Amino acid sequence: MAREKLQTLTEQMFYALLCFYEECCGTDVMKKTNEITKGRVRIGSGTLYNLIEQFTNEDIIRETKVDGRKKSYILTEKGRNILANDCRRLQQQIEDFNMYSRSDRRL
Amino acid sequence: MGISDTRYQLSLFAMFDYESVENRLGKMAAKGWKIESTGVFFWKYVRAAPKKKKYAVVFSKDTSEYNPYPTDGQHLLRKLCNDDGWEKEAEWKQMEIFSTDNVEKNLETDEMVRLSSIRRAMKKTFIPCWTIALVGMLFLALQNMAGLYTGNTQDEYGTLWAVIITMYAAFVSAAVLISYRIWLKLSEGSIREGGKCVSARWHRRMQDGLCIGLFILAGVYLLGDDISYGLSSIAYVLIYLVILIMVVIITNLFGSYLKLKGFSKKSNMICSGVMCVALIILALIVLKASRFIM
Repeated sequence: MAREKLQTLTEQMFYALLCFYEECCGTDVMKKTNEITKGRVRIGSGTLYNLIEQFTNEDIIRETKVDGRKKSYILTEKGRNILANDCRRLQQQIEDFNMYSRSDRRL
Repeated sequence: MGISDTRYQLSLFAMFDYESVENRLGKMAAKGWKIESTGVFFWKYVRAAPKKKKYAVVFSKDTSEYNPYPTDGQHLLRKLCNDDGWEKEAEWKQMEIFSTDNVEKNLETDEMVRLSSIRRAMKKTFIPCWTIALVGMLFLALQNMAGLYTGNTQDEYGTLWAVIITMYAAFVSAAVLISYRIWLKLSEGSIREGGKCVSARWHRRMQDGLCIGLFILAGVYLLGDDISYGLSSIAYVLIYLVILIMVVIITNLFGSYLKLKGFSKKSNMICSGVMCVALIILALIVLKASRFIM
């Protein structure tokens, strides 16, 4: 499984989960990621397909609606926790960076 | 469509060598050949206007040569790809092959996810197939060794060579499995350092080299055997080879026919398996008869 049981998320994983915070379909995820990151991060459809499979199997997202071939998903409680944990980890990294770089300046 | 509008090309790719598949199809499209269908040994191309196209592969656990209809997972993948501007071209083993005119576009944007999907696909097909080959060859080698040891063999020279050839075939199977593990480890390392999955071209070269070695070994055996027994063994081995290839082709054609007729994946696999065993038994009978005649 990618990133050892999702302890840390890759950028694509992070933004895909973020998009699934609200109910949406795969195509929306590709568009929303592009919008949120202003084109910096792009999720390819092959990657997104494998992520959806993986997230569904691990109960990180769940299917909410099927409209023809269009399927919508939303984050589960487990998915929200994973996303929140990753955010905390990133925040901690930023704080560590700020603190270290400040003390570096003092020297 | 005339015969010159169709082209068959020998395509013996490693199951995880997506890069070679993408490059080959891209080059063929640039030369004016569009992929029509994939097969066991040969891939069929049809004439098209030469075009610079980008081909990309996605490994899908749902893709199977036995599935009569696309599964929900395949529908999802194809819809996502269509919405993203990719066109479905073909499928082979667990690869779904797409193309686009936008050569800057990427179908896979996270190498970690790509490697994870390849690993999952290989666990399902590649590893079991080569493990069965390894165990089978070791079993045959041990059986022949036992025959040599106990002196329970009619042709000591032939049995000795059978031991050498089956041991070598077992070595080929083990080497293929080990080199896949090496590729996996190298790719993991490369991705950790911000790179992508490493090229698997060397794996194919190694596989080709080892197979050529097998033919050389068989040739040496035949040469020695012919000096003592005449040309009959060459004919015997040729018949054996032709029958082996026929078994693979007929089993695959049968599987494709059942798929076309809408048989479920499970029924198709069982029927194809039974067909394969029946053909092998028939082949053994034919071989025995041909040995008797010559």
